Amino acid sequence: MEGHPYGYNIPISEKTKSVPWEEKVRVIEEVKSDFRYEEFLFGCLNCGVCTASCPSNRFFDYSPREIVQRFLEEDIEVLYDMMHEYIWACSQCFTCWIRCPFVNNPGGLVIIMREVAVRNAFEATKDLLKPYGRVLLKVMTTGNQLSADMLQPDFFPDWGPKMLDNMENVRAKRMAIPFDVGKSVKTAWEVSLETAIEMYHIWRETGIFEMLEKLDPNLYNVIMDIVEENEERWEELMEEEEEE
Amino acid sequence: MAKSVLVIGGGPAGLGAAKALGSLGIPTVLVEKEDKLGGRPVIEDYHTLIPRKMKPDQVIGPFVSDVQNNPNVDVKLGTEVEAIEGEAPNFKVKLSNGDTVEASAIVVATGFQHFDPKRKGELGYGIYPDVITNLELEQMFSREGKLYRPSNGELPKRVAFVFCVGSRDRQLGVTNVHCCRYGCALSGLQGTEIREHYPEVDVFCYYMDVRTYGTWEYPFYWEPQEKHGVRYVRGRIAEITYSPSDGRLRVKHEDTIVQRPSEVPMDLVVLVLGMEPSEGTKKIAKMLGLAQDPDSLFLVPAEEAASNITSNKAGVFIAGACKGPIDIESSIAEGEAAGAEAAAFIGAKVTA
Repeated sequence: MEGHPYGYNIPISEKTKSVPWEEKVRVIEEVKSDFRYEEFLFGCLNCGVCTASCPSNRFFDYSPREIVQRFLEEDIEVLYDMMHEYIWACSQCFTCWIRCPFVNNPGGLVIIMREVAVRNAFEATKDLLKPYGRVLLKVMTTGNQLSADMLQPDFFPDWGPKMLDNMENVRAKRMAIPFDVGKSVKTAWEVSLETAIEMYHIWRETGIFEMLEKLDPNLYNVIMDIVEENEERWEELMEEEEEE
Repeated sequence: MAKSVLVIGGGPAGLGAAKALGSLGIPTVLVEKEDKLGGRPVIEDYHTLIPRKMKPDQVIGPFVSDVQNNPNVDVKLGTEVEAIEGEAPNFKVKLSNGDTVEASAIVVATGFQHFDPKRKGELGYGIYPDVITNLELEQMFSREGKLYRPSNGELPKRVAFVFCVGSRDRQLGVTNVHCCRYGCALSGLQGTEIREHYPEVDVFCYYMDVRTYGTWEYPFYWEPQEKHGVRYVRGRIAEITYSPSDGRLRVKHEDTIVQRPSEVPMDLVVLVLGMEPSEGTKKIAKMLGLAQDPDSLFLVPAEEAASNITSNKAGVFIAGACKGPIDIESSIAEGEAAGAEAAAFIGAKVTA
């Protein structure tokens, strides 16, 4: 079957139109077969609480209600098209989820769609993630990318009084954190080797590395260099320990 | 000893039952925990009742005086049921005043309670004085005879009704997923009353759908908007905030018909409260082993019974809002039917 099954007059991008119908069905089926899907989508009364509560809705052409409605209508063409750009406006705050009177989770549906878009190396995903190469590098190799002193009130004009209060004497407050790496305000990038190795296991087992390889092969190579180097160091340490 | 019937609850349903039993000459004990008969509509001073737009005194008043003046009915005010032993037709009922009543049948008419809107924090009830409940609006009309903003005593320019507060809401758990049945119609009536007395006040109803079912459709949906200019906006209110700049409330919603999110100023916001089983209903259900809806905990009729006033316990009849949201006149009618059924039940035993 070709074209839009419901005949809505919705502008569909040329990119989506050029993709064979079967491929679009396959991608949306991949979204729907996710184990979380049935916990994220129930019936909908189109009451609009999600969209009225949605911070992204104020600034972008994005409506969580529309996500839910398109899934309930099984609108393959529009859903596939949304995966290029529309869903990337969601800020993943999940206010839609905690407010929906029927406990639908539009933000959760967006997570699944994003993951499927990344797994299928959507061109849009590559473009969207390009500016985040440095963030990805830090997060995937060290597990975090921010140190406490990088959070300065000057950069966050929307902070409320409580947050400002929290950031006062941050060094003294962080000394109370019951593990060593948390006690620092400057060195959040320094995670223990053991922690990093555990994290790499998780990336490997959950297919994150494979995903990255398709998405950005250059970044993948840079990250894998660091990962392999750390893993070698870890193995050496383990061997030394065994010898002792 | 003459066979008697115990009626638990002196609201519309209990009064209907007691009146029917008394007029049939059956010794009846009516137990009411409040100091006054009439139930929520009388005790809480409802202003005008749906669907016939009559006053509580007109609808419930005659039942109260009938029951109080009938020598067959023993009214026990300020009294609660403490324990029930035995099976029909030999119930032994212990009351909080120390009395023991022997009853051959029981009519349970223990009613409902209003949803506590503080459980929906995002609606600002208890934080902003100009967010009130529809019950408080009724009392504003009936006790004070005027419409005003609690924050400054002035007449509001814009009034919003927020439908389905504590109804049709899975965020509150499974207990409040049902429809309150009366809210749409009462809001139509309250909106009409505001527009009749204060034509300069704009009234908005925010709804998911308007359930003025059956014959209520015309008087409580079309008339408010066509005759009185009450404005209906499709979209559930997501959040109510306050703006210090103009001292007015803001209601946030998506107009889901024109697909436009908006945040509009309001002077008075009325929350349309859902209905829950009363504490008394839950207590008596436990005491008698009555079947309850697993979600809402309202009483449910016996599965095999044709009539919905027949409980799962022989000799126990259930009437009114203890079974779920219901309007006042239907509640009275159910009480009368339950009274008649109870009479038939003990009569059957007499002839056996």
